[in-house]
Amino acid sequence: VSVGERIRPLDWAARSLGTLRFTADLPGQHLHGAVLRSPHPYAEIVTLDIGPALRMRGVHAVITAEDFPPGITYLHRGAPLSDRSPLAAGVVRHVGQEVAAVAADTPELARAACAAIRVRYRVRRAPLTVAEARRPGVLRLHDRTTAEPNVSMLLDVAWGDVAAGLAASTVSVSGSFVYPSLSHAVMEPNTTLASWVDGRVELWTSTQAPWFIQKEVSHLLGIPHDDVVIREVAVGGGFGSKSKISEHEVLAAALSRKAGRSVLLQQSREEEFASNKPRHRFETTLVTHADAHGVIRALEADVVVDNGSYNHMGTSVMRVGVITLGSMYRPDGVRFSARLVDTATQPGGQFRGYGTPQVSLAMESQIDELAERLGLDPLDLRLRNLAEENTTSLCGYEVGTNRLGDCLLAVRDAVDWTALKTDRTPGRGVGVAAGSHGSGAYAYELANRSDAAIDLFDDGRVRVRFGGADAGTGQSTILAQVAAEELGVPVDRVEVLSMDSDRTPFDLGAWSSRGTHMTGFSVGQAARELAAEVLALGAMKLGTTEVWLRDGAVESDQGSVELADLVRLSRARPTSHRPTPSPPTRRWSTSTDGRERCRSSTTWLPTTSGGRSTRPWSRVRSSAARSWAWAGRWARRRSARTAGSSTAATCTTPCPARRTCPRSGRSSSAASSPPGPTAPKRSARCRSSRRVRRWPTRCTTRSACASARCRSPRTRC
Amino acid sequence: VRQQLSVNGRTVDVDVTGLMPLSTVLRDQLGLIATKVACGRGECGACTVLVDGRARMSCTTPAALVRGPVWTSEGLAEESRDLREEFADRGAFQCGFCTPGQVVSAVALLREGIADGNEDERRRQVRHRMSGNICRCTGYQAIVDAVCTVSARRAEGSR
Repeated sequence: VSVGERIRPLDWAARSLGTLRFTADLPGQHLHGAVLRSPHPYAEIVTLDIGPALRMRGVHAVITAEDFPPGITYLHRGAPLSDRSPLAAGVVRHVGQEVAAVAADTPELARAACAAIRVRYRVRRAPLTVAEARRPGVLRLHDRTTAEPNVSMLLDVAWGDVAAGLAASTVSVSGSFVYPSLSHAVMEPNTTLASWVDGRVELWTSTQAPWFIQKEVSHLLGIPHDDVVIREVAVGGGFGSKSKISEHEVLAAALSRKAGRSVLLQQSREEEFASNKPRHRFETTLVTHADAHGVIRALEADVVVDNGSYNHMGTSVMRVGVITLGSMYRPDGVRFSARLVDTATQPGGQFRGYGTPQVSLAMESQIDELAERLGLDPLDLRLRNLAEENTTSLCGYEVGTNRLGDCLLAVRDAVDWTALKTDRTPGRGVGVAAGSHGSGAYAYELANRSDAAIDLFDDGRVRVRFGGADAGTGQSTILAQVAAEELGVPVDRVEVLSMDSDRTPFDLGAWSSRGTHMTGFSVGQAARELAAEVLALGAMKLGTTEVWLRDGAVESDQGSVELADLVRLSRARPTSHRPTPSPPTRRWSTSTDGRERCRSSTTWLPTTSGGRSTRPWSRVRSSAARSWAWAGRWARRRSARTAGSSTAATCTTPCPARRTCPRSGRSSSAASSPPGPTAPKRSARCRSSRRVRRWPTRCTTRSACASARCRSPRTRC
Repeated sequence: VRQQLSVNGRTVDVDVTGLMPLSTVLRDQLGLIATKVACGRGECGACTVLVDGRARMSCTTPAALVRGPVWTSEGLAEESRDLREEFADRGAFQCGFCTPGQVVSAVALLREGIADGNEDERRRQVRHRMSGNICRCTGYQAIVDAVCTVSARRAEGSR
């Protein structure tokens, strides 16, 4: 048993010693990047002269907006919300906005070259606060779709029966609450190392979500998604800030493309504070109406969100924030208007809780106020307002169970609530607040999907591959524990490969608490299926059906066989027992609203019947990677590309047979080593069997959909 | 300017220009990457090394002014092993970016020893003396616990 055990992180020794490599620690000779930033909150760029920087010795590349396709913007939530170009295109809208970037021999030189760039600005009057930005006649930062000045998004919404709620209420409390902006202050400054080779760029970058980086960088540079390759590297804290693209990723890639050498772009601490995407500032005016029993009957809110100068994730942060009003408790009705207001300040972004804490501050404060007005215990008041189970909440969430009541009671018992509440020690107090947090999203394609792959090697090692990242949450260790548990192997025999976009299956990354919830589920599913397969093999070998997995072996009363031996045995099985590619069957599960909830596919299963052949089915293999891959399926784009070729696709295990790409003749063996003066030329283009049209040997694939909706006991699909 | 430094018990030749910080020399010239740079201005403690046995922030220490022996996290691997195990067991690091600096500071502190006193007093001392090392993941509780535990264990062992 390894799940539930307290174990040290897999890489604890290197991590605690400091020898684990973060992006800035990677070896090799790189150019160093620096970014020229706007000194003005709102200004037109009249002239931009990079000549002086280019003439400096040791400067290898200078990029401006002209190095990107005209009019291109970060995708984020898609048009018409996309509004931010990778480098300022004629206008700057906040102090610190990226205007140009330089790659040079040393960081000092790169900074000096930035300083040498001549920019002439025509400064405009900038709305710096939400109040200023909403004043009539103010300068607008963008053309927006709403009628109000500088309002990027306006939600005017009523849920439930507000009138009935108001009629039933006898007491109301009202107030305004400001939740300020806040920096994540991650310990590792955002850093990217980019290496552009032959139209393909490899990135070592501090991120929680490699897939989003691939998506945005490929879009901005106009190259195929698969030509942006993310490699595994340690990530020093995220707290949400590294869950979407910042700017350093694409700037480093573009600099590397232009300079023809690898470029390291590392933000200074000042840049971290000034240009990263902090928590959105919320001004929430709330009126809570309740009846004499302390049951909340209606909520009325006016929410103003400081978007900063660009949308980034503001629209979804605001939506998630207001959902708190309609999901936490059970009023009869909720009415709110929410405005996302542009100001000429740094754009806000995703930060733990994603809008929820901002609105919860107002709501939870007022529940306490209400309790005081009604002479009730605040914890008790919350218990009276628990949302129902097995229902649809006002905001549209389908709620199964709700354990908030148990949670509150547990807190009450654990801290001796009543005694603490009556304790009048000056400077000491006790309070309670509740919050809810959604894991996953519906805003992106395949947002609730995670795939995972597990390899079993013939030395008994197990490897978990997942496409998310471990920004310090212990994600890799957790996934190793899950796999170890299901496969009955000691956890120290499990290694984990994360992030690598060539060698890991599809995963949107570690954000919104989805890492363990979704990727963990996928790993468990893949491991269970692999375990079943291994058990079946073991049963055949041992001649009994009473078999179980323990300590890295299939055991029975008659004896046991090591997993490692089973891998070898599997290679010696007759060809007819080779995992035969059968036409991939796809199960599409669609919910009533037509939205894709869960997608899983079963592909190649070993066939157990058929003719006989003495030919071993592992001929193409040499010694190194005798692995049994149990791979989660790749993303749709990958499968689409490989449709029609049943031997293609899903094996992502680097096997010797595939080390050399017959098309390019290049080797991919060094694909994951960082660029350095002595590193062999990487191509990595010949990644998978889908390029090398060869039998994919022992790869069988499975997918595990981790959508909470589809895997819960109340399964829908 | 060529200069000799004693780093982790070995004398090395380094190239130092102007006010080049010690952290740059350690990382870029000697490949000692355990010295992390998180703020670059002597506020967070991630770059802590021992100079003459004292914990110093290498990002604001000009290498040209360093005379005494320098010890980095790598060089203290053996000495810090029980401490790092304790860190790992207690969840005293998550992302680990600040950890080498925490460990180096704690090594200096443990060498001097924590003055006797009651539990609260000892914790207060550890908190105070490691206040120059910022951690963003853990909330410090586990770090202080780990240092106190190791300190007590070592005191026990030497008795």
